[in-house]
Amino acid sequence: MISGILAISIAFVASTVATAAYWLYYKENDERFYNLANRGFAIMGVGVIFSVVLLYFNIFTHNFQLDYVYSYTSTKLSTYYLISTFWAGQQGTFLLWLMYATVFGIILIRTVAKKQPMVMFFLMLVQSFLLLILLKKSPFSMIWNVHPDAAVGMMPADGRGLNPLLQNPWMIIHPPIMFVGYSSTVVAFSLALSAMVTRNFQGWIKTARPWVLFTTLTLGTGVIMGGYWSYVTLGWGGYWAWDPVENASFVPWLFTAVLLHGLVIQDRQKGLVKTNLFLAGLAFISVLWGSFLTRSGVLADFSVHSFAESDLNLYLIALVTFFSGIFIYQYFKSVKLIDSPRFAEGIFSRESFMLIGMMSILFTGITVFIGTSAPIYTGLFGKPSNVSQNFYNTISIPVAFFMLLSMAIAPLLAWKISDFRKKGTIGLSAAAALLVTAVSVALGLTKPVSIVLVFLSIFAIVINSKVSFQFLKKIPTKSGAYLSHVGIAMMVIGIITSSMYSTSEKVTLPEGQFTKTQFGYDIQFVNFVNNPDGKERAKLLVKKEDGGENYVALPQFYFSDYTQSYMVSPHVKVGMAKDIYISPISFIPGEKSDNQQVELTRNSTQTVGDIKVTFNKFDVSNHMENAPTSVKADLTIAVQENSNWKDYSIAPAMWMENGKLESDEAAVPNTGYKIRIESLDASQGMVRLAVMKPSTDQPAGPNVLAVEVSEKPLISILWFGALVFIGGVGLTLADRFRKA
Amino acid sequence: MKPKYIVGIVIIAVFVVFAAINLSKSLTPYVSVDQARKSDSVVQVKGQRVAGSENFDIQHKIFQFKMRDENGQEFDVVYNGVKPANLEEAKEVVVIGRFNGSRFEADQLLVKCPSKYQAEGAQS
Repeated sequence: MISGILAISIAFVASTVATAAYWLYYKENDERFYNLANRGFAIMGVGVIFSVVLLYFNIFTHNFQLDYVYSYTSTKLSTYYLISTFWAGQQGTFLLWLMYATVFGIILIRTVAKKQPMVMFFLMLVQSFLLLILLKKSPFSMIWNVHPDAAVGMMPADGRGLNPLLQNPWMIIHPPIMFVGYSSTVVAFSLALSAMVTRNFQGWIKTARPWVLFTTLTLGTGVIMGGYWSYVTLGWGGYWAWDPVENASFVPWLFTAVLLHGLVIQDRQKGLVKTNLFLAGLAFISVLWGSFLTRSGVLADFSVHSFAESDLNLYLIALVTFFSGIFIYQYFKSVKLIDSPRFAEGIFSRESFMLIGMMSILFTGITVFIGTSAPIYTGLFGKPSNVSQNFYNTISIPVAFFMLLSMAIAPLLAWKISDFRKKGTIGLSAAAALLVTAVSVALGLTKPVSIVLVFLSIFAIVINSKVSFQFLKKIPTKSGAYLSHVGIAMMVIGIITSSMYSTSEKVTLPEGQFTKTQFGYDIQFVNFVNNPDGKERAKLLVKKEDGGENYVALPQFYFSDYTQSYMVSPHVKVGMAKDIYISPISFIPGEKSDNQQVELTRNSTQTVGDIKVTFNKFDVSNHMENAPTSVKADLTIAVQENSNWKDYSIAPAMWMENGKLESDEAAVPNTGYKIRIESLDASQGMVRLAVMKPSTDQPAGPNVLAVEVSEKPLISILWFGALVFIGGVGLTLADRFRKA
Repeated sequence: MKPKYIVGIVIIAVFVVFAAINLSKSLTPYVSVDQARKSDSVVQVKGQRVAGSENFDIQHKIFQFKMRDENGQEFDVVYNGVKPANLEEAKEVVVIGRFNGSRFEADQLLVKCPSKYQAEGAQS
């Protein structure tokens, strides 16, 4: 589509012109360059917005001539899902990224660009790079450009449709939130680079703080939403799998969170100058690196998530190395000039404890980063390997310990000086936490690691709640920071209980019967029911053994033409104390369809499996007056027994009853074989038999649905804590604007 | 040097060593069947399922099947779980686990299906 390609080309040219003009304005300080740059930015912005609108227009008008529209949409999709097809493919997500960066650019132009044009220079440099990628892999390619065998000008009747996994309400809001956070890391990056180029190492942090908060908020919300989506729709039983795609957004979030704390310290004590510059770079570079890992196809063998192999490898590698190079160069040039003052005395200052927390999060970020990249560097020296989930889980434990400890103690310490005044509060809070922990142990908290972490979490919750309540009375928005820590500590508790104490059982449910589970309730598989959305669900009755409340569970289980596989979605019964999670695994039809039809004329023989079937003659019998006439096929079956063939005679019958043909099964002795008459032609002396082979893997019987039932204790605390966290960060962001 | 820094450095050093040991322990390489047989640690083997070799023991909820690795070598796999519903459609199967005698005991069974996210043939 020429208009779209043209729009992106113009945007690209305008973007590079603007980049150069911002640079010239910085060098020459000539207003005309600034105006030129902003004009370039405006043209770039119009080009990007036009592209977004154009792509949406084509999606909604079902223009399947566009490869993107053909590949990800179809006429069957509802309006909401058509909205989400925009980010179903790589090109769309890059366009989304560009659109957000444009909005950030507008805000920066209205705030700091005039005084700090280098911020815009770096922002536009990234922008130009992304536009270049879209020139290479355009969302506006026609179907015949991509598929060489498609005729020029052809219009497919319908598109391929959207992956059913993405046809979920969460997938309408999760990706745009994720991407807004992802793309916003560019702002702190540009601010830090500009600070280094202009040698103003302190001024940038005031501008950066709300942006960093914004990234923490949006990326955090995105990560949590992704986990929730995974939990309620994917059916594998968890919310976090340390998959490269998850890690690619988790790592930048961790680095941004560390940066956020670093900025607080720098703002107060002028310290951590080098650290903060470094962190701003690290966060953005981890975003680029994550894009490379998840979009280039290098991890295709290691993730069920990753996009398929793509032709963007070179571009993505260039993107990472180019911006890492610029950053590292500037950083080492600047580091010598920075004189970061000592900012805290002694160990028991708030800064010291914040540093412990920051270091534990930074450590997590770096190890997850290294772990996720394992296939790359192990591939350089031999067999590519990835790390198992154990790696991440093991690392998390000591990290959580230090993080919780610092979160609990830091709010009670004074800034700057080592003064441990509030020993009383600590003692009381610890006593309260100990009490709650003791009750938890009595209720079944047994594993030592979990006991320690739960104690620390409650300790942190008590202290941070106390501090946030004090602020709520005075300046409510100031309570946000402490509230967000309450949320994090609650999430830790929820993660521990729902993972370390989750119990699950695989049960096979014969249709129409209640089957016992270890959880004290019986489950019955009733049947499959059709849902209005076309996705079949298994209807299950869950009955409490002690006569409690019964309920109907309707987990999804259907065959998708799109993925050519069964799609599973669990049923989650949400409860305060625990969730009951039922996920179908496999359906085993009761009647084995493993039968073979043979056509035999009189006195002919055929081998079926390991028996030989010979048709001798028809027997027409009419024994009783009122019984219907039946026809029997007189068969001789040769069965191999101890290397000798032995003959058996059997005679399956077929008869007319109430105007319908009926037939019975005759079993072949000493084998699992059964034979039934399918049809017959008496005049020709021909019979068609259905030979049912013995099913080796299951007895003939009712349909069976295998499901996994699990109980996730206190997972509600995880989601509730997540909401508290999001609310807390949101309040802190609002606090920034209160000051502004 | 202040004790604060020494404590800090020691903690960081302990963490780094801890992470490094953990990393080297949990690396699970992709290997061929031959290498998997020799290996004592957890590995992953990629290959194709041998059609019709599946056997699901409903009593023990154990799923068995034959796999053919990339070099064409066949081997038996047992998986202590229920057969993934989309196994028949799988282009590729990845098993993560280790050999116990002649059978590969899979802790995890990953089923790779065609066109998970990217439309088929959309590569230019």
